Parts: sequence; C-alpha cells; structure tokens
Amino acid sequence: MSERPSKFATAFPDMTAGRWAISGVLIVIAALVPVVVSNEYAMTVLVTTLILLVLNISWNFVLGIAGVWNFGQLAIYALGGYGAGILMLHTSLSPWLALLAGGVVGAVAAILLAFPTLRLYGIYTSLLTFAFAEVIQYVILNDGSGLTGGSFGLPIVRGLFGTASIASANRSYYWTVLAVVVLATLAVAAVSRSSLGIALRGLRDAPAYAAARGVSPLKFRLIAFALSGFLAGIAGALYVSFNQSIDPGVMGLTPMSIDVTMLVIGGMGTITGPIIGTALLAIVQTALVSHPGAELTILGVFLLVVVVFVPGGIVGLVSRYRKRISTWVAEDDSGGDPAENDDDVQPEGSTEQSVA
Amino acid sequence: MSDSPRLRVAGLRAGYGDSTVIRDLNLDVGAGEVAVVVGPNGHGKTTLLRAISGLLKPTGGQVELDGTDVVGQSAERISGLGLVHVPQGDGLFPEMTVEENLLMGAFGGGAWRSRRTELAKIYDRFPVVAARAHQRARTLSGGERRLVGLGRALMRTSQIMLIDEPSLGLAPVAIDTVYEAIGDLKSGGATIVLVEENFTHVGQIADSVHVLETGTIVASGSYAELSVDPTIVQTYLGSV
Repeated sequence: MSERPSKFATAFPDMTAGRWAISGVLIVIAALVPVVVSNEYAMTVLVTTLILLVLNISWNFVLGIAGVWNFGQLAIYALGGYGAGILMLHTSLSPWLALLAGGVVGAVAAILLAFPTLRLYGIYTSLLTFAFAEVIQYVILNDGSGLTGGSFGLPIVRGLFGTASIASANRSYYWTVLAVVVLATLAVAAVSRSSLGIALRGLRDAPAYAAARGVSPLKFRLIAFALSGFLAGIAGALYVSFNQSIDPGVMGLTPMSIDVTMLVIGGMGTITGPIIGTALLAIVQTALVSHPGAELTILGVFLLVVVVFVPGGIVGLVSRYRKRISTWVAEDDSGGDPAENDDDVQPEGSTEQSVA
Repeated sequence: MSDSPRLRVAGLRAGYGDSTVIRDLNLDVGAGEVAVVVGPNGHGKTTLLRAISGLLKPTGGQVELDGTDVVGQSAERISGLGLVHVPQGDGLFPEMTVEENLLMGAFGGGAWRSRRTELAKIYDRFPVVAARAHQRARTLSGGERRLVGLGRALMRTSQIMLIDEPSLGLAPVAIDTVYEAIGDLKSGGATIVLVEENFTHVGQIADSVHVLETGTIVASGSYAELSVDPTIVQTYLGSV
C-alpha cells in the first residue's frame, strides 16, 4: 500500500504504457486524415461517421455497460439535435452553447425516459423505450406549430463554423467531432472502472443481488441515462450543425437497425467495440452506396453471422485469440483449455493448490 | 441499546404468492454471536434469510436491526444499515472480475473510500482470492467463489452477516477452508446467522443452534445440548 498509483493510472487500470502509446498514435493518425484527404465528399462521409460514432458510444454505455434495453436512444439524439437546432435558428446564442444545450436536452429527455423503465426489465424495457421513440417521431412529424418543420425538418441552421468555406468547415467539424469521440471514449473507459461502472455492471448482471449490496437501482440508472442522454444530445447537436438541418428521418427503424448492428459487430459493452463496429460498417456502407437495395440485406447477413458465431463481437473475438496465443506461448503442456478465461489469467496459478 | 439484540426476528411470516413458508418465527442474535439455523431442505432456511435481508418482503412480524424495525424496507436500505447477505451459490457477478466482485461489497456507508485497505486485507487473508483477482468470477471453482463471497462481505466492517449454506456442494477440504474463514469473521466481531442442512461443520463456531422445521423454530439451544439430544439428532439432523 506504500506506493500509491497516480489518480490517472487508477482511473484506467487496463491501460499499459504500450496501450497508451498505440492509442496516441491512432489518434494522431486520425487527426491527420483531413490533411491527406482532399475529396470533400469523403470528408462529409468521415464527419457523418464520427457523429454516428458519438451516438453509438452513448448508446453502448446505456445498452452494453448499464445493460438497460433502451431503444429510445435515437429519439434522444433527435431531441438533442432539434433542441440545439432551434436555439441556433431562433436565438443569437453562441452555437457552442447551443451544442451544450443539445446535450442538456438529451440528458433531461433520457432522465424522463428512465423513470418508467425502472420497474421493467428486458423486452418490456425495449418495448416501452421504442414506443417512446415512435411517439417523439410522430409528434415531430405532426407538429403544426412550425417549430420543427414537420417532415421537412428544420430549415438552414447556421452551424458551428458559420461562414467558413465548405472545405475548411468540413475539416473543423472533423477535428471537433474527433475530439468529442476521444473525450467520450476516455470518459466511458474511466467510468466503467469506477464505482459507477461497477455498480452499473452489477445491476446489469444480477439486479437483486446488487441491490442487496447497497447499490441503488434508481440512483444509478438515472445517472446512466443522464450521462448517455447528454452524449446522445451532443451527437444530435453535432448532426444538426454539420448538416445545417435535421428531419425526422434520423429516427426510425432503419437507422436504429444500422446502429445496433454496429454495436453488436464491434462488441457491445466494451470500450473499443463501438469504434470498431462503426468504422467497419461505415466502410461496408460506403462500398455499397451504389447498391441501395443490397445494403440492408448485406448488413443483416453480417449481423446474423456475428450473433450466431461471434456473440462477443469483434472485440470479444480478438481478446479470446490474444488470450489463446499468450497462454500457448506461456505454457508448454497444453493440458487444460484456457480459452474459457478471457481475462488476464495467470497460467502459473495452477488449479491443484487452489480450493477445489 | 446494549441489551437489545443486534438482530431480532419476531413473529415473522413470509412466503411466495399464496404459500406461506415462514410462520411465526422468532430468533434473537446478540452482537458478535453466531446463530446457526439447521433444518431439512425446503423448510424455509433460505426464505428466512431472504426475508431478513429484504430480498423478499415479509407478510408479517418484525425484523429489528439494533432495535430498528426494517420490515418492508428495500434490500438496499437494509444493506445500508450494515447487513450483508451471502446467498446460496455465492451471488457473485459471473461476468465481473474477482476484484470487481469484491468492490461490489464496498457500496454504502462510506466503505468505498477505504476500499484499497480492505482489498489488501482480504488478499492477505485469502491468497487464493488474490491470485485470481483479475479473472472473471465464473472461471473460479466453487470453493474459490465462496471465499470471494465471504471476502466481499468483509469489505464493510461491523456487520450482520447472513450466510446461506456455505458448505453446499463443496469438497471436504474446501469446506474446512470456508469454515476457517467464517471463524475469522466471527473473531473479527461479526454477528452471523448461518444456515446449514446439518450439524456436521458448525460445532466450532456456533453460539446457539436453532432447528427450523416447516417454517418455524422448533428447538433452540447450545450446540452441546442439541447435538446430544437423540430425538433431534435422529429426526432432523441425521448423524453428527
């Protein structure tokens, strides 16, 4: 107990120096992309994908880490987007404050949605939250007041970088959203190892026993929804700024299916899963952009294959094989099958001397 | 305060749906005592513990912790008053690591702040648990899991502990280790209600033994008295 690890090291116990180095290099490479890419269409696809990634990180937090089957996340995202968009249209508020306000709208909407889900579990939570999303979409579509613009959506919203040229705005958006992605990923990583994350995963795996350990389901679910809702709201606000409009098409079954597929393929409940899943599917989607009919079919097949053969997603698959390889290297006799242990197993902790 | 028992159960009734499992059950446990409840399968031992810890709402009677009635309160509230339930089959979180499982014991009552000291103590006491700290709980053997369950209960001090059949399904050598650990808890000052199917392992630690049949206590006494009473030994407990 004499040498206390620094606060920073305690917050990220899984991160070795090597892992920090790799993450740093990847972030630098990602930050240099706009310098290399001169095609504005490609820049648009990249920024859109990064915004989607912010949404997916927020959704992974509530769905994968907190384990609440919330299918209302796209409505929260849309509400954040509309909130920020309306502020940008009708007030002279700084667009950056409007961005934050989008996050607040998302958090408030998520907290309101959290209350009725407290007494529900599994499929009932999905049904309720999906119904919430449908109601929000219906209300926006049928809004007679002109505030949301109905099915046409909000008209030209001034974004974060108002009068900049398209090329320079695209790059500014890219770096802004990338920064949000990095911050959000660090936040989720730190939170998932903190008391909050342990409580959430405990409540996810065994709600009654977690409550019997003094973990309040009300308090922690509200916090989880608020954090996830805030991030989803920010994602929506980024969307409305970048596209200079938003319409009810951002919600609904098709975008939701694509997002879920991204999470499942990447590895739900993991930190890097949303990044990998979003990137991979964005590439597939871009490749299939000229075959609009085939796109959803192929994504469906993708999802099916992953769910059946790789239930942990790509991140789960990679950590399983890394384990196998490192155990194989460390052990001469291949007696036991250590493939079951997908955490850091000490191979020398042999079972003979342990309690049966 | 000093003469009221740490845990008092009076006239307790509890059950599932229309069927009453626990009826008019009385049990007093003084501070630092170990009360062992023995009885055959299906007579309400687990239900009794669940009713005390709030995992199951009693339909009548009182459960008092240090003189405060807690019947009808939520499990998380009762846990906050210093009661820890170590359920049958451990109640570990299988997909979380051993260390995270231990940390689950540090919620409520400011225990989170002292978590590192408590973790270090538990690792000292159970080296087997320390060796597995970063493995997922589901990859441990039954005996190891039970030690983790007990270790988790130790993350908060001054406890009332409910321990459900700690010997269930374990090899004799593992049972000895688990009972040694429970002995440590007792000498650490914990008040313990422990349920078992028989007398076999409890002789060393029991301050009082209570025989539970069809949902109520039918005999109480010291281990020495009950373990030589031929009727009780033959009817309920099999051989000693």
